[in-house]
Amino acid sequence: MKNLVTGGLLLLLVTSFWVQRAYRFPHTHLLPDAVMVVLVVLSLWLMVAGWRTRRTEEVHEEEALHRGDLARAVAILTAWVLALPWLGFVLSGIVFATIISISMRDDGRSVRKLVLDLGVNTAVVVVIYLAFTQVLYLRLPELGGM
Amino acid sequence: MADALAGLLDLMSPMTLLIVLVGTVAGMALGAMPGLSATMGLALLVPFTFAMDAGPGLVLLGAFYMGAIYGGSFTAILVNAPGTPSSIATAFEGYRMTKQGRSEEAIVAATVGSVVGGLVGVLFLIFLAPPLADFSLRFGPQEYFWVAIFGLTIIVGMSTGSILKGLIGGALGILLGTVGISPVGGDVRFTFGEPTLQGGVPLVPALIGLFTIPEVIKLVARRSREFDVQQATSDERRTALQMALDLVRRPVNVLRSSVIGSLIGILPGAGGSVANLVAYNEAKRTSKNREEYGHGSAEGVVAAESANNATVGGGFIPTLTLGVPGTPPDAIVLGVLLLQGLRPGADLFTQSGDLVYTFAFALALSALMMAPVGLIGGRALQRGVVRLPARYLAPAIAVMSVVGAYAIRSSVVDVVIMLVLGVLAYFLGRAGVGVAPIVLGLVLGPIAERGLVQGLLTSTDLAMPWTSFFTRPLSLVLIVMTVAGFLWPLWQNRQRPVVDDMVTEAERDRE
Repeated sequence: MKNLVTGGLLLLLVTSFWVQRAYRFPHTHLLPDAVMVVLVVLSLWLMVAGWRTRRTEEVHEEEALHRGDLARAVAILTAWVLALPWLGFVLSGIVFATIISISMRDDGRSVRKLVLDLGVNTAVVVVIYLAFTQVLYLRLPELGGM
Repeated sequence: MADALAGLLDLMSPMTLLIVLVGTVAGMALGAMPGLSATMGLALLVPFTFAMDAGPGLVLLGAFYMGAIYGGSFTAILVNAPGTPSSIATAFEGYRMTKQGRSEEAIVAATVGSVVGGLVGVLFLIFLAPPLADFSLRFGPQEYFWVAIFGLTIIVGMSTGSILKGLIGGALGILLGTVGISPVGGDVRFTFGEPTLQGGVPLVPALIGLFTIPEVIKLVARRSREFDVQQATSDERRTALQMALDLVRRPVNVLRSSVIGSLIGILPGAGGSVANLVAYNEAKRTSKNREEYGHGSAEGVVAAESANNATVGGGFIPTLTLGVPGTPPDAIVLGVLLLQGLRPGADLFTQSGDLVYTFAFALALSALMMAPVGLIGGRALQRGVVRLPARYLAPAIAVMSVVGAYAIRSSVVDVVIMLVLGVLAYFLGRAGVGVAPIVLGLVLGPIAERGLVQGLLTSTDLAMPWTSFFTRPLSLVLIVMTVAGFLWPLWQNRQRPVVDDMVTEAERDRE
């Protein structure tokens, strides 16, 4: 089943590239077009293989992860990246790193543990921020947009 | 010679020595963490090199890489978690030694093997890379096209599960590499209307996303790490030095395995995963104590570890001379090299020869440092990093990933690209499509395209310009190598049942 879905999604991806084809310079179409054709063939091959083995589920290490846990992980990371331009590096880092820590606790939650997680993550984020901005002179997103 | 001397002098500066030490220890710490790979560590280290000059930046990455490969042996020996295929044989013998109360001996064996292997690999790098770089001056666009295609055959070698899925990953990487302005001509392609994509998919954010985000997702979703350290007792009466001397007195095994590792490292795609098994099998085949293999053989650990550390130096030969990374960590170093405005090939050796030698000597020094650091502090380091709670490790990795993706162009779009590719890599991983082929396609696709288009444009005097790709002598050699590079891993796959048996037995040990 997984192979069928993967093959289908790959075909969608190739289609999204194919509709943007607009070449003006000679030969610049060769590699992208060839790769798209190859990817279509491989995706179809994968789908056929998936159809043939649809009753035997492939087992991978990630199978052990629950969908809810996966959705939680992806949602937190997505929210972090979306909040980055508005909250800045330090605040978004502290907030979302702490949310990750709290969400990973499986030994119950309490105010003491919340304070501990907040403290550790604040220290990590601030140290990294200072190291990159004050020592390595790199810019990082500031609070309220850049 | 002058470059080598200048490189040695650069290495001797206190700051460079400190960077080598820090890189080696940090690499060992990361390598010793079950579940975290050297590649992921290197990706996280990239932002630290932004503000550094090219030399110290490369030295830091090289020392970290060497340390991480060695650190992985602690995980294999004490946790029985090979993690990557390059430690299968180490885990196979080393963990059995641990269960017999011989973990100290296993660690000494891994240390001796890693140090010697690392040094031999660097010797290969120092003596083979400059002539190969000179030779690359004879390459035209057609040859670079074939070199890139040869590099892409790595995908077959890297396809640990299904070759079909490896090829899909490679094709996907090449397709992502075509986003943005074309390398020749300037056509703007596949940007989805987003102006920031005109520069293409940025390599460093892509590498960080592909290698670190899936690990963060797994850590956050799983809430813990997968393995615990085996609590082993040691009734060994010999000191570590005596154990090391016992192993060094039989130098054939360690030297042969190191040479095997170096040579295999040069071959694109083969890397440590093949080297450790070939060296282990060769050591077993020629050993006088063959019956000890499979029951905790120190010789086996030496063979596997010397081979996989030797691939570090060997793997940098095609990376630095032809721009063809042999393994994902090599791709990250190549990315930093390009970021610093340096192009692999003869120019790198003629214009920045001292830098190349500093890098090579730093790898050698890192290999030497592994002995005292590993033997004195290795166990403590392992215990320390394993105790680090996953709930603080995961956010720290995520914070570093955000910094690395953002800092290169001060662009939030790069952070978004990192996340999108990371999530994509995670789900592709669930479907059995690995990250390594995607990375290789992303790096080598533009090289292949530049060679293809330039080759056709410079052959317009021919009735059929494409024939120039098949008629030049060097191209023919590269075509033969490409075919061999494609077929060899297929032949190797026929031996996979042996590997599978070892993995199954090792997993049974853990239970």
